[in-house]
Amino acid sequence: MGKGYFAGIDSGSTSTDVVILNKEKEIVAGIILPTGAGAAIGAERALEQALEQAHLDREDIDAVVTTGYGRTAIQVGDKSITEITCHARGAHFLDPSVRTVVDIGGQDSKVIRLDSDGSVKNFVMNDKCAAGTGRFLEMMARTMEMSLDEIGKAGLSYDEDITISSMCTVFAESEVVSLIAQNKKPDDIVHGLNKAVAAKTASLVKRVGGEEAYMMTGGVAQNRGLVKTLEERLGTKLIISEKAQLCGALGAALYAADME
Amino acid sequence: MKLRGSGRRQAAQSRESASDPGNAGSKIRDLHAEYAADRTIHRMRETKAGRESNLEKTYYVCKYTPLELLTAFGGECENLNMMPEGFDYADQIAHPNICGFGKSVLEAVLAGQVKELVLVNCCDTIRSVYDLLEDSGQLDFLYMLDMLHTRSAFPERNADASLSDSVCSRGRVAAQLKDLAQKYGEYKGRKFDYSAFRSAFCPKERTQVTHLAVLGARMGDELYEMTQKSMPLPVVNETCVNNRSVTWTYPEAERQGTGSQKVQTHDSETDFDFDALMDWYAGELLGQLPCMRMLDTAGRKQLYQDPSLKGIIYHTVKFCDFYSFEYADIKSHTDVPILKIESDYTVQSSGQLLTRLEAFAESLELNSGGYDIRQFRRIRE
Repeated sequence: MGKGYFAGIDSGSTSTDVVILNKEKEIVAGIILPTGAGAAIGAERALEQALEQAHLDREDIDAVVTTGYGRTAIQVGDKSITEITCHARGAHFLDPSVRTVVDIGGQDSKVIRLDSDGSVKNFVMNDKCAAGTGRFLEMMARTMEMSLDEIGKAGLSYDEDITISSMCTVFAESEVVSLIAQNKKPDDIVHGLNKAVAAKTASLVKRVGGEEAYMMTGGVAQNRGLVKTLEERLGTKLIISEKAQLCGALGAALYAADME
Repeated sequence: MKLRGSGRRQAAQSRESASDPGNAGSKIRDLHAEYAADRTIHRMRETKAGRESNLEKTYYVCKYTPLELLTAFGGECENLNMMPEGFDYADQIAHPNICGFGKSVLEAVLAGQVKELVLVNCCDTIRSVYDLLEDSGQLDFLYMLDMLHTRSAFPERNADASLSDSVCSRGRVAAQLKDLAQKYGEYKGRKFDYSAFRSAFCPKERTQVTHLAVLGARMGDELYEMTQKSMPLPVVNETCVNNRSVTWTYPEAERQGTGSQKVQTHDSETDFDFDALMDWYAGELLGQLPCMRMLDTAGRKQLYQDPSLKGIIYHTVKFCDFYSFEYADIKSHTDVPILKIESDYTVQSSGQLLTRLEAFAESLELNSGGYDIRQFRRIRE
């Protein structure tokens, strides 16, 4: 029997995130760790760290819900719920005015349409191709010898409006290499990359029928240059909570709190 | 339109007589030599379908196939619907623009899982598959029916089409059936068994229970199982070949054997007019709920206007042209929750669909009355 605490574990391809809530549904711990080689081990480690952060023991947790790509591989947990449903729940909790959630993760991207009560109305996923996901930006950052942090701040202002035309991540990398060889400015190249990701995301939004207000979740939401380009492309403001990357885990924790 | 191969070749092709059918044939023989040691076969045999596959079965792919006729000659019919792990062999002999299902048919035959196959010229893909398989000489019995796209010869005059118009298309199909009957009977070395024919008819029961349905292009067995497991309600398969339904309504009065050939049956008491029987049968086959390659598809509305239908999983196959049109139409004409998924007929592509199926199942449970998360799947299930 726990002490009225609930945990949600989001086991993604890139990061494993954990959120612990108390009975009042306040966040008492939030952890983001690289998943590493195994979803199960990644989940154990992340849960441990979250418990530490909240000064709790495992026995204090009443219920655990898992989500994310690795949810079925994890042993710990009482229920597993898809990340679609969890992101919707989390986004609605963070801001009930949200009607469209744009989640660009490490290896997939999704757009979810919500009703006014936070239930999922429609959703669209891209998990067949890494172009337009965090992996795309990771690769490009490496090619340009920048950290993810640096590439996130670049491209906010640009001189030349470059367009990366390749649909495929691997071919886009070749394009970037030749742009570098042509001495194009890093800011201009990064802006071109942001436009490529924004274009792919925008077509997902169109397919699902996006509506105001928009919230962006997932790790890529920290990339300020991309957010600005995406806002321009969608013609709207994106609500970005400071808990953006924890949105899935937060939703899972809320479902855990629902369990008696 | 002359059907390639029909009326010219022996129904039973022995491997000796297919000694040099062309480039594809020798290529297939080389590939065949590798099959025995190849892991694809081991993998396919390890699948449920592989274990149950019987080399004496007559496989079919289309609901317009005259299964009852084949059964009347002692055939044991089975829907060819396996999802392979890859298209190693199909990719070596087929052009890339055929759909995943066409490739899976090729894989199954080239891996030696299928010896008898009756196809219908549904689309370009199946026509290409037929050509390749004919050249390969890998099958003991291969036949392709030339099925019309309409029940009547003049669709634009449907409203006041006279009996003679619909007789035209029925007549052409009946002629096909008689040709198939003759060739298959020869191959099997059996005569037409009227009572076996009659008892082979088992029309599909329509369920009254609250349910979900899979609509659209045919869905592989493995993916269908995955869909069933992830849904909170029973899932009825109404895709393509799975909504086949032909009923025995042949009027007893027409069993008089007048005029045309009387076919000998095992039951010597039964006297009937085989021509008239085939004519009636052709009409029944054509009169089924139409598939999307038919010209008049209005009859398909009953698939999604059922009040006990609580959700639709609409499935399309990559590169299949027919069903995306219907999806676009249904989407705007129904309030029933609908999920669209697409597969390329490989087992791998199905794994990525699991999240979509589960998310859809979760939204059905949530939207049907509050947050009842006790319905959600337990990890250890």
